[in-house]
Amino acid sequence: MRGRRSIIISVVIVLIIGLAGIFLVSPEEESMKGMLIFSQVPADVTGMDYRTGGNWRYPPQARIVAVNPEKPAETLTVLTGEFYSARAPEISYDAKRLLFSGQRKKGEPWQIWEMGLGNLQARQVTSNLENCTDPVYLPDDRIVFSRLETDTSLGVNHTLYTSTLNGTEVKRITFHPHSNFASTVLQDGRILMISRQLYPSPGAVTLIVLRPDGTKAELFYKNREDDWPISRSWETDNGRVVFVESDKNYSSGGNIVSISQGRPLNSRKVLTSEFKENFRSVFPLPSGNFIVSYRQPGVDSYALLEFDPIEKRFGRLIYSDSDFHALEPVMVAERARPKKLPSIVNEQKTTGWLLCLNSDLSDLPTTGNVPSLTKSKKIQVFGLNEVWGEVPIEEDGSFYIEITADTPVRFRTVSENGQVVRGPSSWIWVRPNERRGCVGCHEARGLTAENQVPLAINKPPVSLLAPLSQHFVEGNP
Amino acid sequence: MKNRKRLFIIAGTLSLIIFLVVLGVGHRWSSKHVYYITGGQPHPVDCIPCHVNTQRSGFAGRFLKKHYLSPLNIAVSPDGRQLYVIAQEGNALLVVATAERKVISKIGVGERPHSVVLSRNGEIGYVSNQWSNTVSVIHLSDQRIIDTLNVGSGPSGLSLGPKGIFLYVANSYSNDISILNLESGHEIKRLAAGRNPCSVQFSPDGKTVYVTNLLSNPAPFRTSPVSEVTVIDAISQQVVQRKNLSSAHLLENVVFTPTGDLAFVTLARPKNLIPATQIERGWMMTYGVGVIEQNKEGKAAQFLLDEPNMSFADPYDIVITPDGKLAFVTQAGADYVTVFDVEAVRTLFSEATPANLATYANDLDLSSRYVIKRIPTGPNPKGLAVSTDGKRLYVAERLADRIAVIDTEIMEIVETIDLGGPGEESMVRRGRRLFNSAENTFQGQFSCSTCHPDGHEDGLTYDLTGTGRNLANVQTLRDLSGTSPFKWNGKNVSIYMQCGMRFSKFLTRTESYSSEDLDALVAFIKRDLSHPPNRYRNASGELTPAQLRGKAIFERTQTNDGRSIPSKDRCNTCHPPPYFTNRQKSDVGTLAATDSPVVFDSPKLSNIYESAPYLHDGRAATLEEIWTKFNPEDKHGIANDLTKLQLNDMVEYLISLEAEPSWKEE
Repeated sequence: MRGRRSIIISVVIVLIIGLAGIFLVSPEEESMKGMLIFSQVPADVTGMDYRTGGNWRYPPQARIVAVNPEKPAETLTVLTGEFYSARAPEISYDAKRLLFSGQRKKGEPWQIWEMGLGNLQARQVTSNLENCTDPVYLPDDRIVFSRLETDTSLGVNHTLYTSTLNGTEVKRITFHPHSNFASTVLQDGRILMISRQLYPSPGAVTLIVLRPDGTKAELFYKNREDDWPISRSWETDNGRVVFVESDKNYSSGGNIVSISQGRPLNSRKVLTSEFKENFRSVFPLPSGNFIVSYRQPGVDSYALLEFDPIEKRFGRLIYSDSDFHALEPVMVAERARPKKLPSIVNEQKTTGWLLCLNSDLSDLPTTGNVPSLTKSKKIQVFGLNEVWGEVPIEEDGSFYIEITADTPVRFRTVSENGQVVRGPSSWIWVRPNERRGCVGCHEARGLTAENQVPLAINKPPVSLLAPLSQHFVEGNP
Repeated sequence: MKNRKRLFIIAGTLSLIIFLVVLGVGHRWSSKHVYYITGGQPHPVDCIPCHVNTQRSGFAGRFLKKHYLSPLNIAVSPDGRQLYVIAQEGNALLVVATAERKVISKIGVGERPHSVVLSRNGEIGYVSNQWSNTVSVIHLSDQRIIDTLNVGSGPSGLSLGPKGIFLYVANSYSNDISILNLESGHEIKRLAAGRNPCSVQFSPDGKTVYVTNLLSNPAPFRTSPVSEVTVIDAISQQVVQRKNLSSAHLLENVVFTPTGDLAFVTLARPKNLIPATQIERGWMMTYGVGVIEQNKEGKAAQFLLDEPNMSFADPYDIVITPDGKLAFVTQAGADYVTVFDVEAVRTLFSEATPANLATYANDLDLSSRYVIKRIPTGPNPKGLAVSTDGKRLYVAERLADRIAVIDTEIMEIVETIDLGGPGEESMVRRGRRLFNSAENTFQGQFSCSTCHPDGHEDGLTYDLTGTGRNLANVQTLRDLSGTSPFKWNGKNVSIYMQCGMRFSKFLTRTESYSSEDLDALVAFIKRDLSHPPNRYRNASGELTPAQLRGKAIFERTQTNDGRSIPSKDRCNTCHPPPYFTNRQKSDVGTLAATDSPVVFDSPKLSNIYESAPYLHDGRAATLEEIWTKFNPEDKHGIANDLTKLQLNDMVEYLISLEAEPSWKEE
């Protein structure tokens, strides 16, 4: 009898301990839900450079903090106190982890770090000799981030990489002479990046979209040459993508712009034209309102406010500190996980394929005095420094080529007498084993293909390979 | 005593060891089996989803069956107080009181009802019964079937003439149109339509009838599909024009503007001739409406309802408000009703040059100039009906067993009407929803149902490898159980493998189905997709004399000149009953120069008459062509000695083949 009682008491004690453990551990993991996390950058930091990142991506003595938006003054918690500088907070889809870019000690390279929002312990993800920044969670427990490249013929620029959360399986996914910063992952699973051409001449800042394996990169958004997206983008629940856009001089911030995810190139709406260009970051709330980084005219630092984009009116002031800019706000809340896209990349291969359905379909003007109706007869393919070769264009305007993977290429169309008709095109690349298609050459982006068999596929693809000097070698960009 | 105890311990220990070994070996074997069946797709080692939930008959089949209603098409009474809803799976016409928002009556009709139209005074309803080949005539006030009229095979769309005397019926399986004289109760004419006619509509002046055809007409190999709108003069009751919409397909429904100046047709524009290198930007399928001008010139054009990064798959029904200003289109694969401005389309249409119109048909950006709103709905929105005053729009949310009510002024759903289905979603029902949803393709570009409308096939050949090689003629998904392997080359040992990871990698280009979704999809395909009754088969099951002669040829062992036919060259060796496939691969001499060196899986032959074109790449337009054009060396069975009449008989037999009768019990 006594034995049975002992057993029952033991079981009850074990149960109580277990339940207590669950009770104590679980709430801790979720204790940050509803908190607002943002970067604080010293208000006297100035200067930004798209190519190097400069103080824009790598500000000195920045920190990541959390506040309860209902009582911000009393709840400010510094999350990166052990870091010399940190910024670019990103919350995981389950709202349990924080990803950020941080510099442990002054002078060390910036790396990507992950922090559990339960225990607030930071763990290093990347271990690179160069700066890594702007991390974004991919839907499959991987991340995408930008790495500073200094040892290239292009000079300093940023390139996109993916890796596991342990920092393994690091894979480069962009291969054009641009500087790129990861911006967000769209619900369809593609990465949206801020991108600016650097070579042969600096171009406008655009948004480019690509699959997480680096395939199917294409222009997503571009406004006038002088309008540059300067903040992270976010996809809203109603299918819009919002971000801050500034003129290229970027003196005092920019306006919040909204574009349709379905029709990004022709759906631009400026949501804050009444407020001068004084916005720096935007984060959409489920309610439809935004949290914005906004600087009042005459005030030095950016504060966090709620903003109603329909009524075009500010709500409450959430946080303000005259010594710090409050930037890059993110709410700790679960959000829909984007689709996990399958990959067709085969890294054992060294080439990919490009099929163009009609190279005469183009919005590009003809060069020089070439009449606009001149029919192209050849396509000229060239890399950073050298022409790879020419391929005849079929009667229907199609061509089908096999080209070196992971290497930037451009195209020009050439007439029968060797005159350049149109071009050069923008830079593109193919990943190993990628099959890429184009409706035309710089055609209107809303056009889809006409349903007909392209003549070029009746023959094997023409192989045009890059000179060895232009091949990408892992670890030696 | 001690020995016995020891014996028990040893026996117990041995039993435990044997049990653990069996468990371990069994689990290992099961894991390998699951890996083999799914082609490596992560899936729990669980027997029930695959071996029980897919049962069509027997205890499991009956136990798991739920009786859903699946509202398909709707009519609204002239006073707006009642809705008449076709319950496709419930074999019934539901009468719904709109004010009370509830079903007040359920009238049993024929098998697989499709459409309903009402007489002008709202007293009589006509319901087409697609699998019974009849039209039910219903006295609506006392909910009594007063007549059942025989029509062609697979009656679907209906339209009643202005005087209420003539009823036009689209016979989707026999590819014709029945004209019924309702005063005599007889079919007075049968007119040839295109392929799979599915909707009929009188023009507002009652002088013209338009018929849309779901599938495109047969076209030369590797040319773009051309779909027909059959135009009938309602006075002479003759086909006066076969209006072709180029590069268009899946013409589901048609509507006229109230003034009758334009007709709008829902459609898809497939890209089956283009190598599927990608899916981005409508590379594989786009959707929109066809517009046909009602004048002598009869100009036609197509306008897309998609956007560059977002497709609105599988447009089904279209209605226009009585004031002619707004058009509403259900997009069944996207779960939306799209609203567009009729005047904006009219202006674009009238001002465009032919070159403009050719560009418009492929311009995904253009929809911003006429699409006003996208209204999200429940799963698989199908039929539409607008109230006489134009204020309410009713939407059949087919896979929710529900009607959504849209206020046409604010363009939002303001209420829903539950039709009283089972409520919970069974695994098979979930599979049906997944099958009909474009959610599982990149940017929602197509659903399974797009290429397999009604679980069948769209009659097109696609270049899915993206290289101009290994073209694939879409195969039916009806009655697949027991006919593995799948794909023309037989590489997929199961439907699990067919719809698994490779499917998402090379076709849908988005996240693959979860194991739960895959279980549901497979259960739906195996249990719920059946051929309609074979229209070439006598009701008694007896073969006609020609079919009997054909059967003898199909089973013959000697040529006409007495030579023995080796077993491998006989028809019934590769195509034996009950499924008319031996599920083996063989070389039938049809490998194209652009095909990888493969041999072909013997396809099943049930209801084969519905599956033109034939052969793996669709090069044979008819069954006859398989032997008259593409069997020069007798590799596809020894057949070159057959006379024309013998071949005719054999084809007569082939088209009579149907799925195993035991399946038909259900």
